[in-house]
Amino acid sequence: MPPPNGATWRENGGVSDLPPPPIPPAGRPQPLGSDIDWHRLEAIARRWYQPLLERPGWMAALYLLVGMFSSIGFFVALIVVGSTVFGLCFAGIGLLLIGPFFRMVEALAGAERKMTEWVGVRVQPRPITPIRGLGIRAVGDRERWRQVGFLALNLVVGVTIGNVGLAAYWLVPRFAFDDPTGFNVSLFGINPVLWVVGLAIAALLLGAAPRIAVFVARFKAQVTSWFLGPDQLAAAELRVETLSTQRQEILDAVALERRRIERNLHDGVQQQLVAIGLDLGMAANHIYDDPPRAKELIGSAREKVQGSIGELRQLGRGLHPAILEDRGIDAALSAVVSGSPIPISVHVDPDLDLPRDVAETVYFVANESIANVLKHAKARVASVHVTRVGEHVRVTVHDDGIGGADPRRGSGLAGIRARVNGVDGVLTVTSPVGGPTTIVAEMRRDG
Amino acid sequence: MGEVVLRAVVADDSVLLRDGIVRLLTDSGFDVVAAVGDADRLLDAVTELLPDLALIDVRMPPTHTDEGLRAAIEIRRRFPQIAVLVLSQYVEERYAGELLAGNVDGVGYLLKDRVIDVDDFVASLRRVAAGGSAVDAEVISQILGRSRRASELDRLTPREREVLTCMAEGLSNGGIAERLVISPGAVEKHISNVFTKLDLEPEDGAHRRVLAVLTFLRGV
Repeated sequence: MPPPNGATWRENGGVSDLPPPPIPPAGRPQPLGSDIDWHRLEAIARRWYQPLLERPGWMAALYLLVGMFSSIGFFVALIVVGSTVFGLCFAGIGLLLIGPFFRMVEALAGAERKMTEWVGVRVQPRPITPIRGLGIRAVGDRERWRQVGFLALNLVVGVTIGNVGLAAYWLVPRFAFDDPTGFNVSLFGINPVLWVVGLAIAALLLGAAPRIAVFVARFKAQVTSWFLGPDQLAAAELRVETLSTQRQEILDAVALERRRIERNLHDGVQQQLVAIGLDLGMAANHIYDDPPRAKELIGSAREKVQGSIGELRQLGRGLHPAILEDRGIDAALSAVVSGSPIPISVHVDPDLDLPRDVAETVYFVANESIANVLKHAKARVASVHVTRVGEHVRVTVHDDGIGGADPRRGSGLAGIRARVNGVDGVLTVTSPVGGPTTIVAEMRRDG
Repeated sequence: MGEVVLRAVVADDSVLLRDGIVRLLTDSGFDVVAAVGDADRLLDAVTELLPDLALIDVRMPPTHTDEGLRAAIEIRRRFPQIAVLVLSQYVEERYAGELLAGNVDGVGYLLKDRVIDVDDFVASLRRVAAGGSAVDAEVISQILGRSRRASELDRLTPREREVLTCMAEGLSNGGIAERLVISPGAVEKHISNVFTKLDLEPEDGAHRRVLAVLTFLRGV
């Protein structure tokens, strides 16, 4: 399963995850009979070098490396295009290019802003007045000049910070190949002991490099965020905007939900009741002239009553399952899948500890997804996982059906999406035609 | 009842109910030539089989809103000789208005629950198939409740109001007499009172009356 596109910066931890006091691997094997615990040593070494193999370290290094080149490239573009445009202003036609110039600046700054996501820092754009017409007005817009200023400063920041952050990577081979200064000064030539020390430093640095890169990359992303991210007031405005969108989404979810209930009532139970009434009406007509037929009709009515009761039960469970409150999500979801015609496994982390509204959302998402699986997927098996991921709870519903689920079509998925968005969560649907389908919803545990 | 076997098409997406209605119609001497679950197939069946009567549910796939109603109006437009009875889960006066606009001969609009009253329902069906009309009492009472002619309606006695409702539903004099358990003579007397009090031209034939009464009630 590909990682969800939503913000997952919380998973990138590692900086605060300080290593144990490093013990560089000893250069030589110890004489027999020593009491060194090799297993322990191996474990420590593994832990020290682990980040080399992990994504955050690599992404940080990539971010710093690309950032060095982009900062230079963007700066050159800024200077060349900028001076040309403003030079041409004296000739008049430059005025036409002011708009495009600021658009370019916005795009370049936007690219730097986007790049911070590589190291898990999501920077929202600052609210900015869009460029209209010729864009002459942009000249008087502080926000526009802020972006220009960022690109200028970023030359220094990008190159310097990039060098600092990647220094450890560059120094490792220097020390390892016995030439730390790069001026053909061999440590071995000075003193063999020094050479061993150099090797040890290389070994130490190798493990430290990704940690340093992650730390420095975060710092760089933070600097970018200071410049390009919203300040407090703007952040608050942005938040208000998000909240009102969410409010709308909640209202939509409610409306969708009500529509679904109405449809279930009218097209399900009401139809059944009418059909029951019809059977009984006909039975009444036949009760004397054709008792066996009347009896048959009454039997058919009774069967339909059974069906209606089942449907009402289903409907009530979809609205608010009593068992959710009494026995928790695990029990509630187990009850949902117990009547399923295909095997559906349920796994719920025991230490979720969710407040009621979050539990209800989790239940809603799982229940609706299961209903979708049963209705559309033609799956043979399915699974539901509710797991705790740090401050978040993740609901994963997977099936091996025909796929092709599209949140833009069908009220089921749209309802789930609206509900998840309503609690600030992220819904990811992976459903290629031909299957399988995986639906992942993540939301904060504290609601 | 008529010796001619009436040919009917039934359109309802609920299999349970469709089967029930088909059984009822067959039981009551209709020949159900097609039973379908959506509007497209309904139109195909009607075009191909040219039945005497189409019995149509308002809500059908794909959107479950008013597919059936639109199909009914389409059938009325293309095949005016085919009687159409629309069944609805709930009464929408606007639906009724669209369906009954202009010509009410051979048109019916009933709540779905009416099928439970088997004999009444079959009678309405036959009335519509014979070129009469059947408007649900619920629709009439909604129209009555919102009529801008309230002050004129106040001049009617309670019995006359009942007779007015029956007329609007499409009942014949005999039908009204049966429903209200009064003599045909009394029905005639009430009807003429109603027409006089409301300043309406007396109309012959139950279905012309429906139109006159509905037009009056809508209070144009």
